[in-house]
Amino acid sequence: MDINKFLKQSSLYDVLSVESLYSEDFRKKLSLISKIIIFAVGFAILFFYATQNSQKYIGYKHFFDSYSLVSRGVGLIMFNVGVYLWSQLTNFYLSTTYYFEKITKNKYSKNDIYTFSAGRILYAGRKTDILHGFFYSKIGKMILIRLGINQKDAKAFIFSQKTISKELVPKSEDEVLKVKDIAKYLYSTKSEFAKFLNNKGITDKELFGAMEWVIYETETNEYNVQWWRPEALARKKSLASDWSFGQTFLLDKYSRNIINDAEVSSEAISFSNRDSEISQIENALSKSMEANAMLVGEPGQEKMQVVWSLCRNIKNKNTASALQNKKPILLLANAIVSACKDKNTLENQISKIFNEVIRAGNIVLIIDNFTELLKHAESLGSDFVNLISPFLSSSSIQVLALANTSDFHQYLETNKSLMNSFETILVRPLNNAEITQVIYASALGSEQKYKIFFTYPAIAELANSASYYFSGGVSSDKAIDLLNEIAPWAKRNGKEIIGKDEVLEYIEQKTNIPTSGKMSAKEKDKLLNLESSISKRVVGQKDAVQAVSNALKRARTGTRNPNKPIGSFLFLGPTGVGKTETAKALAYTFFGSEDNMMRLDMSEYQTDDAMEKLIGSFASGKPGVFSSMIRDKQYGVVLLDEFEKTSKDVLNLFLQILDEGFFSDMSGERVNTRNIIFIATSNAGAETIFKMVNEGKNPKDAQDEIIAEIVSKGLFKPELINRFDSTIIFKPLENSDLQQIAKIMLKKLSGRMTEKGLSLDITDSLVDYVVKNGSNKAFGARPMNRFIQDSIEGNIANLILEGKAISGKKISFLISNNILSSKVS
Amino acid sequence: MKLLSSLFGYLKWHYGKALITTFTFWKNILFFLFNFFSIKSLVGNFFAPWKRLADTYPKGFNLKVYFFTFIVNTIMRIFGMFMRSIVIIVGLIVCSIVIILLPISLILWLALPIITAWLIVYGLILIIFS
Repeated sequence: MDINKFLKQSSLYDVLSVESLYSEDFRKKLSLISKIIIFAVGFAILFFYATQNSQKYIGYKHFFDSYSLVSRGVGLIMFNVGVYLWSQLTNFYLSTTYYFEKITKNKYSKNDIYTFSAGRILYAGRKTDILHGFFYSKIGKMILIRLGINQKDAKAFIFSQKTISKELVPKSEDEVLKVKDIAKYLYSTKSEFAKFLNNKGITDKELFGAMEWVIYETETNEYNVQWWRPEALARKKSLASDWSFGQTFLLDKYSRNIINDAEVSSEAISFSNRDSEISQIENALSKSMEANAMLVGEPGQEKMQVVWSLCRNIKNKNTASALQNKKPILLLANAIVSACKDKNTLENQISKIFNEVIRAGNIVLIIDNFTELLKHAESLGSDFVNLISPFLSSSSIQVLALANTSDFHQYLETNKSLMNSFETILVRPLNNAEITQVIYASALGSEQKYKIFFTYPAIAELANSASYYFSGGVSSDKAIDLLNEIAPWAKRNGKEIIGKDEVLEYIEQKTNIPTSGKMSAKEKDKLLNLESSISKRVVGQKDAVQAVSNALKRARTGTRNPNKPIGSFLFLGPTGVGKTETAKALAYTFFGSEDNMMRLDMSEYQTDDAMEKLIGSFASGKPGVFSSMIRDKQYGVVLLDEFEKTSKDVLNLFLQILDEGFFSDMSGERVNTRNIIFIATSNAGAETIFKMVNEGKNPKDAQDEIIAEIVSKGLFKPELINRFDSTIIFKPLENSDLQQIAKIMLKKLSGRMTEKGLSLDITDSLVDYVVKNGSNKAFGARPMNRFIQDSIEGNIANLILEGKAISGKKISFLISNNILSSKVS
Repeated sequence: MKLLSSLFGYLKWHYGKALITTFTFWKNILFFLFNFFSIKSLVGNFFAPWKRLADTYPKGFNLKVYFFTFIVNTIMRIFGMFMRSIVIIVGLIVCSIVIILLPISLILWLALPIITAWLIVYGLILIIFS
């Protein structure tokens, strides 16, 4: 069916027709002008009658009379009243026929055939085609702007597109055609349109997201216009609603009426992503006895968001009958804790508060931070659970307690008698798409406050980055915090449009983690030359350096798996061949400083308490070394030295870390390791490697054999080895490699001497001497540094003390029969 | 043509669907007023003491205390009934006015397109021919 026929089938066609004749802007202007004329002319006529007996204004009177200005003025007022009424009637006509897509209660009838928003697009394209309709309709234009596409580019594109005559209307999965269906149809069938978006870096997901946000914005505005809706009227405070209920003098001291919170009063449409939790709370609080619920979730505002949604339903009279006309009061545990310093006062106040609540008869008592109250009472020697149990089991009280997940597991879950009185409700963590929806309203608020504009990809990136770059806490809270920080930052920096790049730029500034938003020329150069930069410090391990460099290139260009650490490597090989040095060189070259390498000597974590030491102890509440380390520095290299020596539990922990890019600490809080490069080193298989080298084989070619041997010895499980991005065999260093290392070390020493005005003559014989005495088969180049310190640096120190080596002098070393002698020239 | 068809569409709505909407609108206003004056809650708790400010009777037999408690509670109940009566009466009067206004508002609604057209046309006549 073609567009025109399709459009005319719905009763909405007439409405769309009126809207196209008199747009919203036109109606607004018309109303304003007519109001001004009514008042101005009315005032002039009043002035005329008020002054008609005054001689001073006799000239004006003649003027008015000769042109019949009074009756013409009355005519002008009548005309404008008519125009004003007509524009108001049109507004009412359009408003009452507007159907919402986001509000499930306002359902479509099958006969409507399409939604209002979809109809607007089709109507705009009725003489051309759907693509043109999308670009010419107000809603389509808004979607394109939200995608960060400027009007000039959009116009240039649509002008270049030929019109398809008699285009058929796409089919819908739902009863009626929605904008979602049109967007899907355009993206999948109009390859030019998809290409246009893709060239601007926009994906189909972002197109649908921007569409959802624009509909949300349009419908929120429309929703607020309709003041006659029952729920809008129900929001008005009743005159004598609390006259039949008791006063709560003491409770008022320690609490606040949550109904007055801005989040409850807000007129913005909220997404239904908390319906399940709210329904569970309503069921629990509707029981005839023990109508109490415990809301358990991560620390942060997520639990409160559920509570606010519940309170909004209570305010809108859109809740279970047991909660109708109830007054939700938030008891502030911290206020009681700070006011009641001894057992008697606390018990007395708590009993009185609960009695007041029962007597009042209309209160839903919400206890914030319930565990805090419990712990405080216990610390004063009070049996808090026994104290409140009789109240909780009463039929005339409804309590909703809030608790953090970790506290819940540690203090509450095990308390059977307490938990019998509560229904436990877990707050589900929101996914990225839901977090984006949560921040729709906040972003619109920020736009108004700071006079800035967010594109959809920007807020989607905010939601994504909140969990990706910031560990710990609730993601939706972090996303809203980020949004609140980025708006003033953008304003200060003169950025009016905030796109994805601006968000990534801000995050990079805040965290020092390079995001893949913008890569500077210097950084590109650093990445391209990463291999050669690391090779300057790591000698003879070309394969290892290449593998690590490639992983980093993947990470920075955005082609890596974002749900895993940046890279994970298992370095196998004998001691002193450059495993640790590679990690250090990587931290220095890529992350800017060797300080960005965090080192864990895994041989310290082989006892039964290894896990407690690493991720913290639940019983003692002590934080773990590893979890604290990652929280402090979320971006860098973690070196797991002597990995094979740690306990099996720790190895299992790393199975998860390497696979999923996070772990949970002792309190159940997630720690993000997705911006970390893990390098585990091990001497396992060193003997086999030596054996192969002696036999003239290249250990790299026999990697499988070495790994098989390690697995057969039970050092690592095959699944753990497979979790690493790459297992790299470090071969024993050859003499030429050792010579190169010796040269590097001597050059470092020479550099330090230059600062004192001295110079060091690095001869081949000196290098050979260092290699011969500073390295061995078992420890590779490891003893070399110590040897240089003891022999050469020691010698130089003596020369300085003796006053022979002074500024401007050159120190040379002569070797005869492996005996070192120095010469100053 | 488009103007005429959209005018016809509007009139169809005005004398059809909008009449039902007017009833819904009127029902919502009545619901709001009933809620605003808390009539259901006040009637349900008509005899309750004012803001539940009542003393509890003593456990043992103490006629004097019992008597005083009875007097205080009775006063609170009478005061509560008095205050509630005022709000209920005012609320019912306002609701009655709204009920009476329904037929008037319906007539006004039916006449509104004619009134609007008359204001525009007669206004123009006055402007041009005065």
